Formats: sequence, structure tokens, C-alpha cells
Amino acid sequence: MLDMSDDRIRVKAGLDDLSLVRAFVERHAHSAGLSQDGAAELVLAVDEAVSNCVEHGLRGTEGEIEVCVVQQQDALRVIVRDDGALFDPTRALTAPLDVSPLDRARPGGFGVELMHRLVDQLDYRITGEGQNELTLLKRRP
Amino acid sequence: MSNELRIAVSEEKGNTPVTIMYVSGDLDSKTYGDLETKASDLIAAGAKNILLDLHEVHFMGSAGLRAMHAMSVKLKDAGGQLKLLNPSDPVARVLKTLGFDRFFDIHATRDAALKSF
Repeated sequence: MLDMSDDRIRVKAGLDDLSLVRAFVERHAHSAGLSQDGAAELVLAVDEAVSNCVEHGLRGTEGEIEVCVVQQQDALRVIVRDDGALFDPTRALTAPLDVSPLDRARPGGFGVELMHRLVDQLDYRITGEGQNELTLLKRRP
Repeated sequence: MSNELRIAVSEEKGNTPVTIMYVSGDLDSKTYGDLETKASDLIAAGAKNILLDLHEVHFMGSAGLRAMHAMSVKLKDAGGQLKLLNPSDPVARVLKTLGFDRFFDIHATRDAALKSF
């Protein structure tokens, strides 16, 4: 981990700190009043977002990933920024799940599909500094 | 915090031999390769039927599902099967959210799972 404050954690582009990011999001999800299931769903979605950054946009680079949380009146917003290759997961192809996936050779797209299904809103933009910025919003029940 | 992935293995002899893999800890993008590798080694050594005990998995992401998918395909090619035993809540969440609970053969008890092979 590079650094962490109350509402932000910054990690290197590797998989070693995934569990720290999960613990960070889980702590904020609980203090934001999300249900047990809602918190677990948000943690899982953010884990997929960060894993995507590492495995695709930042593969083999020395880049960084920043995860910020913003408490809103009715929701928790998690913002994931990275300086890897530009990639919009909200437009990425997801896995077709209408036929048995066990019959297909090597499926992909599960992570993106999970993100879509687990949060209430998923937004992507390119920041003024040219970073990927993915925002995941999970509403309180 | 991080829960290291641990995998233990036992063999059930019987009319249909079954290899049981007990998985515990976090099954994420960092660790799923360990499960795939261990399963590949077992399959290369002759395992045809694998029962994956998942009740002590504390976290699972889609990478864990990719590992299970790869295991299922390899076992099918070898004339065998992958079955799941007692998935923990984090595992069940991924399976159910993506609809994989309809495609995997999932059992609540070890005895029922072993009899089903």
C-alpha cells in the first residue's frame, strides 16, 4: 500500500493489496449504513474493478490505483482511478449467461457482469489528467 | 484483511473414486491460479472426479469462478466431473449473481455429494 487516509486508499498496480482495498471498502460500507449483503456486494464489485485495472489496463506497469469513498445521503459512492491504458468497463462485452457457461472453452467478462449486477449505478469517464475513473454507487436499503 | 488461500486434499476410495479439495481463505485474482494449478496436477495424476469443499472460503471474486470453470472443463474432457460442496456465502453470492448455481452440481452435505458421483 502506498498510503491511506480516512476516505482514500492508494495502492500499487499489483494484486498484493487487493485484500486491503476490500477491508477499506467494507469498513466504509458498514459505517455508511449499508446492509450486510449490500456491503458484501459493494466490496465484491470494487474488488472486480481493481482486479480489472491490474489485469488489463495496468498489466506489467508501475502504475497506481486510487480508491476513494464519498458518503451520500442515500448511498455510498466508490471512485476507482488508475493511470493504465484507457478502458471503459461499462461498454465492455459481458459473458453471455443464457447458455451453460460450463460448455464454453474459456469465458471472460464475468467481472464486468458482476459489477453491473451488484451495484445500483456504474459510471465511467476519462479524467482531465487522462486517467480511467470508474464510479460505483450502492444505495442504502 | 488477507486470508491466505489454503488447499488440502483427500481421496475417497469406492466404486467411484472421488478427490476432495478443501479450500479455505480468499479466492481472488491473486490466488485463483493456485487452485487451478493444484487441480491440474491432480487431474494429470489421474483424478477424474473432484468435490470442491468451499465452506471455508472467506472471499471469492469472478477469478475463483474462472478457476472452477477451467476445472470443470478439464474434468469433463477426462470423462469425470466437478461438484461443489457447501459453498460459503461469498461463494454462493458469485454463483447466484451470475446464474452459475443452475449449472454446477452443488451439494449441502459430504455424504450426499459423494453418493451423487
